[in-house]
Amino acid sequence: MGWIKSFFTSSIGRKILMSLTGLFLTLFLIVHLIGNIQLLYNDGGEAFNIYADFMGHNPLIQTVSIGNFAFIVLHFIMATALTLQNRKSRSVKYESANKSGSWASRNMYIFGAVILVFIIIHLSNFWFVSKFGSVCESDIAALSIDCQNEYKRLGGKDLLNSTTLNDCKTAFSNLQTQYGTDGTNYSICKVDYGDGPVKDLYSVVQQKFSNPLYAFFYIFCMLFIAFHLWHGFQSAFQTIGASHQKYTPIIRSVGYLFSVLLSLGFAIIPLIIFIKSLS
Amino acid sequence: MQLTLRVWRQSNPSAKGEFENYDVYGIDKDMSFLEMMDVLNQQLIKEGKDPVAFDHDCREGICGSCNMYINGRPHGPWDKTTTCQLHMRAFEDRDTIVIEPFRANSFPIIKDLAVDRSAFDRIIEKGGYISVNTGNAMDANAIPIEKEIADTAMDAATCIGCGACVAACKNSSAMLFVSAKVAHLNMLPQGKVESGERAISMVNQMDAEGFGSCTNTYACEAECPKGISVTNIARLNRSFIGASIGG
Repeated sequence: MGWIKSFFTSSIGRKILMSLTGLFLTLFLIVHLIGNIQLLYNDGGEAFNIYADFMGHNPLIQTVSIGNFAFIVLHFIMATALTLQNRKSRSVKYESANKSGSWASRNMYIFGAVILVFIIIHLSNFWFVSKFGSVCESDIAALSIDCQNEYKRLGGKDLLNSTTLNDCKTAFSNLQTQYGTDGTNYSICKVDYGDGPVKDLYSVVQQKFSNPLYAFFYIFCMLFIAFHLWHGFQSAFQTIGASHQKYTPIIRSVGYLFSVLLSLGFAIIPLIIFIKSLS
Repeated sequence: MQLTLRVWRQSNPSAKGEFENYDVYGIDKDMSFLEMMDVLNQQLIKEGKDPVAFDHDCREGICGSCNMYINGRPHGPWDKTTTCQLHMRAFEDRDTIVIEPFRANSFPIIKDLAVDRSAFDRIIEKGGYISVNTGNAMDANAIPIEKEIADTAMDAATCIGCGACVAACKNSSAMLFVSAKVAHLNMLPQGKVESGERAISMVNQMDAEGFGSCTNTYACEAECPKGISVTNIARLNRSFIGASIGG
């Protein structure tokens, strides 16, 4: 068993972890983009919401998504460990730094750090809302005025226990059964396309990206994904030892194409939704 | 030619070094960079000052001693050229040239531009050889080797161990050096016998010496005076993975 420890504590072993987790995350991005393209269908969100519901409940997808989170964390931890070691290896810097090697390859950790911040914001915008979001705005609007005031006063928390109004208790209880609320006050509605109610994540996305700040923040962050993949894709292959005079140029080209197409694909979604929201 | 040299001066390994500017005159454009340094040192000696310490030996581009970091590049502005083979026609009259030692914590400065690269020797001691302990040298063609393999191994073997890869790398990684040494021996039948063990123990020594890890910027390949290819790094990774997992 000692070999496992010495393999994964060696510089090459750690880099192989970086490489494999990176390639997995790239694969995830492809699946993610294909799914997200459905946001652009002109079907009022039916395809996307049904897809999102499937992704949220399929046990296989759920297992893979746990792996996905774990790989993001592992990728980050390994990158940090390696970067710290790399910085430590030269205490006195050059007066004139070496400029060989592509700009992207020299700034991978910075891109990665920006992407990590983006992922956290992105998860809180959509993943967290779809997972834990409760109580739809239009449902609240349908309550009596007294109940609405009570809801605002309580900020969505402890709705059942703190109200003394009986009709509100019933109304809140209905909402909680419907949404399986946990007391958080993120709002997400449910829609029924014939197979029972599913969460309307589509509308949450539409609403977020109608805000130019969010839309352009997302588009801006895709630049970092592009730079990260520009170097990362071919670098991952080099690290696992996949280098060949015939195939490496192909891998390199695929990586470049991939970084551009993938980030463009992700960037057009907020852009189109924002433009549509203007009309 | 007249030049301003901005040279790193450091009197001993623990001293805090600093840059000093020197003007040198009467430099011929056909002088080598080291001859220009000799002119500077002659000038300093005449002025009663301490000459600049720098490593040099063969002065014909094969020993790997003359390690200087010139204007942001190990061995200066010419590709695939050692400092001794760099000539002053690479520069313009009245240029300012910044000359630094190869910087890496694993290459501690001895004095001025001379650094201690015995970390490389300790890596070689861990497997940069084949274990043939007795007998005469064999006939060169007794073991048939494919031409392509012999060529690739020979390309890796041209590494002179100068340390430019470490100096150029933003992580001070020695991967190009180690991979050239490992690839050279692992590809040939004489070296194959110990290939796995060689990859693991040389990489472990490289890590122990405090070199950084490879982030595939390929600055090493760009700066290598012998044009060693980063393909060797992939080869080393393959050997290392194979030996670690397959054992």
